Amino acid sequence: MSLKKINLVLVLIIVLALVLRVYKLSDFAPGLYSDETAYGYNAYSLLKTGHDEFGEFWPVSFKSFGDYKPAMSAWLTIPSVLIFGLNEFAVRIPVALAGSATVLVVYFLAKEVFLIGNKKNARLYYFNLLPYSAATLLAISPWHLMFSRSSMLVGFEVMFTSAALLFFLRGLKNTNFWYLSAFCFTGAIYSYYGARVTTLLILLSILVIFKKEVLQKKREVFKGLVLALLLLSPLVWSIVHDPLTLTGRAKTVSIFFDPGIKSKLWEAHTLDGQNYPVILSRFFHNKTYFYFRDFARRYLEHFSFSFLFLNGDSHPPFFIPRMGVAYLADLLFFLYGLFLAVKVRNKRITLILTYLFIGPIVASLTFLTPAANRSFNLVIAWTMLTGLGIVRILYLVTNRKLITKATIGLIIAVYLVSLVYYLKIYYFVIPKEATVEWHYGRRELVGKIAKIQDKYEEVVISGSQGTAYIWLLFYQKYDPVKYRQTAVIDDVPDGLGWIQVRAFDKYKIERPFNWNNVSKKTNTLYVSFEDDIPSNWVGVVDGKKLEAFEVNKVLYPAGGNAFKLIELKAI
Amino acid sequence: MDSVFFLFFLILFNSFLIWIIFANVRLVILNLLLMFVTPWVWTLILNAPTLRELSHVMPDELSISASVAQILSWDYLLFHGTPKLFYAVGEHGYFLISFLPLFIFGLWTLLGSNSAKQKSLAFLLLIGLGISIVFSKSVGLLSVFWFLPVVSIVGAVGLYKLIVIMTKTSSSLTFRLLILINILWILYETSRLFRVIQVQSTLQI
Repeated sequence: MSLKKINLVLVLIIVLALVLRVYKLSDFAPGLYSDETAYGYNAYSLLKTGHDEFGEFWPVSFKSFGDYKPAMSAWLTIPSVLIFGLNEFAVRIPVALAGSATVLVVYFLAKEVFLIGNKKNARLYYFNLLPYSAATLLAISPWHLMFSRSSMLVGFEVMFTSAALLFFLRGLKNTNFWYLSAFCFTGAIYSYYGARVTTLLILLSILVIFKKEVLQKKREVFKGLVLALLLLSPLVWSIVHDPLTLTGRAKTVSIFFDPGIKSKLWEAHTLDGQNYPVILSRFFHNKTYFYFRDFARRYLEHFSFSFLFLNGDSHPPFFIPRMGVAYLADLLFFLYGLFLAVKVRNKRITLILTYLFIGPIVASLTFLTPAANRSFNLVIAWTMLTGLGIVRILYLVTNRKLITKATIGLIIAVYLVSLVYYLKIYYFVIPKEATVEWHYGRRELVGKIAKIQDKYEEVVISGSQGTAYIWLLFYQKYDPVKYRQTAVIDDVPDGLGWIQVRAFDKYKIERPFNWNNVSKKTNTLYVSFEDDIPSNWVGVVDGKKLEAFEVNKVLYPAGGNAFKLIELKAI
Repeated sequence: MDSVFFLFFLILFNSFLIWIIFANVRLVILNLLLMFVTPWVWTLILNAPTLRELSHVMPDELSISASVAQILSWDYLLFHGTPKLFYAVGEHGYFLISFLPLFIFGLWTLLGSNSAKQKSLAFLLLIGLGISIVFSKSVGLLSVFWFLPVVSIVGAVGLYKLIVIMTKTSSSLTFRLLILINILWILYETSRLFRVIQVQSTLQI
């Protein structure tokens, strides 16, 4: 193939990746999720005031809902908010571009791993197609598409991590690339909580696998580490200043805070009975083994048929109805690619294999598994190994003089059908079946509230589903300074670690929402999530008979009330 | 008694298969030893749940894809086994978790072997899985015994290979240490298994 043709193919793959990631980005997924809204609003707040919603000056970790979000998503959203304004497109376009960039990174990474550093195997016919197949597979990967079309932290993390690996490998020939690698590793740490563990594990793996090369260039490695530490110093300072930056999120999701293990341990000791020697009981039933077993179970879930091909992640909003996170067509190619990679492994391939197995570790330390977002690093090695399987099968077919074109055609057809199936689910099924999970309707709701709210002294909103205040701020482009002046926020997080915003300006958020306990007045607009407030409510308040009157509502695409705007009238 | 006869038949089948493929007495003995520390074998020895109960416990869903997902799930094979029937071997899967490296190494040995007979064992496993998936609807969870014995053989092959590597002085020290840790882990889990059986036997079912 000529250089022009090669570059054209790569350009086409990137264009495909871009189109799949940018098409109708504002409307699909159907609704701006609460976390996305928070990144967008905090980016807006930083742009306007240099402070986040809590008034922190350029924080490296956003307190947000009490989950101390890593800052990279918000930082990278600032330019798009400046250009496009505060809207869904502005929030999502950075991650869509990052996802498309990752496709390019994977192309070069596959080249670096399988071709440049692997001359023996590069001689294999069709092996030069591997970077294209890996890049194309990532471009159409349902897993990668899901997280390239929603600003959920991991899209940026995986881009930075894969780029860091690429630059590290490049740096084996030209150590200047190691500065870029250090930069990208720190970028990953600023992007996602889990990267604090994943990056450390990857670096340890690099140290073990490339011990000889690293020791030969100690000075350059040291300089790279110094650069990384300098870049990480603001985060370190933030952690020292407020330890919740490090532990805040862990406490709400970690298996070590899951009471289930402790109760199983208690049950096991109880079954042993009081007469059984304590030392033996602890030998058989101990925290180490129980936590290890739990971790192992959760880890292996990420390599299960159910997660990969059938059901995916069952936790909203990351589930894809009626399919897993990967195409069924990948199965055979991935297994063959994995077998080959282990068979012909060298240091570079070993690094990718290590990256594959490190991927689910962070997710396995949480009790919401299998987790498509927390194990998202898996997708890079997955597509590379699947690509390896495909090109090797094509080589075998050619070598045995079978019908090569038919095989290529069959593979393309299978993936085309798979992609169309996924797109059908994404654009037609998810908007009907996952509207609640994606926090659908907030834009319409806030628009309707904004039109009529001046008629009322107070707006009382049901906090049943999600953090209502953030959508009010986002869709009204609410002045961050004014918000900070009037916000009423709980001092102490709730039992799950969430910080509750109770009120700001004329808005009051009731959470939990119980209509029977809500103060009822005639000059108040009530916002009900679904049927929190009965439409036909009639009651007596302070001797006056009041009736609920539906002013407006927001419906789900499939029908049914998403929100109701209700006022009370005296009858 | 029916389950003991069934187990006897499976042991005979396993030993015969190993002899045909490998012609290695040590492997036959190792396979027998490994089987007697395997939870699914003890399920049959204890006859709890009985074969009759096993045959009546249907998968939660009846579609083929759901059967595939269940039968191929690590949770099912290594952690929970027969759902909702936690007595006898308690909360153990069909195999101990420490057997996983044995399966991986065993499968690797078979697929990488030049012997067509050894490679055919991997295909036998696929056939057994296929039958289990197709017939899981009609015979309940008893159908998993189409592939469990073959998986046991794969594990035995893996363990045999690992022991051979460990006893070679030319092998890497790190690798030998890891194999030793795996073996100690198997011994620990085996002792836990027997303790759990001991506890479960005293409970009212």
